[in-house]
Amino acid sequence: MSTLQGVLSFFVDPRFILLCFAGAVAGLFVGSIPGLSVSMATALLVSITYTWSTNDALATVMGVYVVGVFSGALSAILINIPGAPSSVVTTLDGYPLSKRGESFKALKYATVYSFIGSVFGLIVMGLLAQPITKIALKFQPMDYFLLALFGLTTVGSLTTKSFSKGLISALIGIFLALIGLDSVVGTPRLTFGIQNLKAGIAVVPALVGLFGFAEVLTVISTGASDGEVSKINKEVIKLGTILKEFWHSIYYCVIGTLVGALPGAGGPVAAFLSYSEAKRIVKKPSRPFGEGAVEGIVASESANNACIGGALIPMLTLAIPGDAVTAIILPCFTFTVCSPGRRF
Amino acid sequence: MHEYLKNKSVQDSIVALALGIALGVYSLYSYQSAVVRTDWIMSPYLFPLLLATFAVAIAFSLFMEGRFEVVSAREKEGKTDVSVARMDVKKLLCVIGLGIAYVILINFITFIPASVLYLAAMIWLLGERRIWMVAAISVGMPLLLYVLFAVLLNVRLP
Repeated sequence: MSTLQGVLSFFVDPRFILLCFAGAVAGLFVGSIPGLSVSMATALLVSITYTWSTNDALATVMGVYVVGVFSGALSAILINIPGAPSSVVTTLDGYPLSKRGESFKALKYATVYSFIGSVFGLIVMGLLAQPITKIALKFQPMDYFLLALFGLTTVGSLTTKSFSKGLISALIGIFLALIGLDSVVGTPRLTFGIQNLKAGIAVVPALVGLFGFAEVLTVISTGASDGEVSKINKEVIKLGTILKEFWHSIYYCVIGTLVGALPGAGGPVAAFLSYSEAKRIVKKPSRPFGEGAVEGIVASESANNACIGGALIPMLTLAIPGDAVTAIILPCFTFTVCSPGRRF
Repeated sequence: MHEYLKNKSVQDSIVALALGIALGVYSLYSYQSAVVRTDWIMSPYLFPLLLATFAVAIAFSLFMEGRFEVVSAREKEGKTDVSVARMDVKKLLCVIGLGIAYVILINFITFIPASVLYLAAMIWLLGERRIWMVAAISVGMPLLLYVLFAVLLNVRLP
């Protein structure tokens, strides 16, 4: 009871709220601009907040982290370039909706279900951190391999028309991931003698290139360079209508939290798995998946935001970060009174 | 052109097949010419070779998909499914060429000047003919990025 009171006391602390808000604004900026990653922003912020008190530092860093993950959906929906890797799946239905002039609707669904996902993940983190960590610890290399394989097969099913083309795109993704130093022998692989490729290809530049440059090529090749700016029409969408997908979103949140709790897996995997599940369980989507189905946005955004809570679970209970951002946040805890690990 | 070759899936399958074979040959060559030879199971080129094998198999599957599309389109309407969109190939090649030139130029004249030149060329190619507008965007954007990253955030630019 006293713990709950302690948590609730932060909600009435103006300083805490202000720092959270400042972090959220920074996260909104960083997340929505393709090329600026949340991990980069938190890395910069951790160095700034190094001398701050634990509560102040965490309020700001978590504001950046949570809102940064959400705001990746903004550019994904509006310009078809995901602001964060976990928003890749949101582009599949978000951008088609935006092209139809329904970007406001897409943004509203993304905002509501990102909020639900974040809250769900953080509640689960508070209540079930210990049992989920025990499950995550039982994962062996073979289980990770199977999870990755499962994720790759879902990539194939994401392309609505051709499974083979989906698999080819997955193979291209693996090819790009193989570039760099081999993790076993340590020799350069597929670098073709180029020094800069030895470090591999980072996810964020690859995403910006693949989505942004592809968009430029499409516009150029089809001769539609006159510019197609979709207006944001503020249509009234009742909250009841949006929340029709609530129970499905809880299912996606469960997937997101569990995947987030696995070190190494993260938002993109969770979003892909949830999207694949959405295609299976939603029998009558508002539009076909890939052509502007809000159910696709719900699946992606619920899962990738629920990942935040999930990723914090192994970090807090075992001091093992669930993803890149929690790895950067870890020092915030390590040098404070609430050191993560078995004594947490 | 043969009717199969007009089908987009068949075209994609040919590209995938070519890439798969190229990757397979490169992997085998790299394995054979490695200074420190290891067993295949430990070789850095095991996964690329597996990838190449899968690519060839999927290319074959995609070719069959395309063939099926052609045959079914022929049976339905008496004509083949020509799904290739008209493309402005010259402009497309120009954009790809500019992208490659930009990456090479960055190494020689650094990020800001290379970006100014690249943006100016791209904006011109996209149809903007007002000189002041081309100059403002191509100079303003790199400067904004410089101030934001190099000055305010202390992030090193290429």
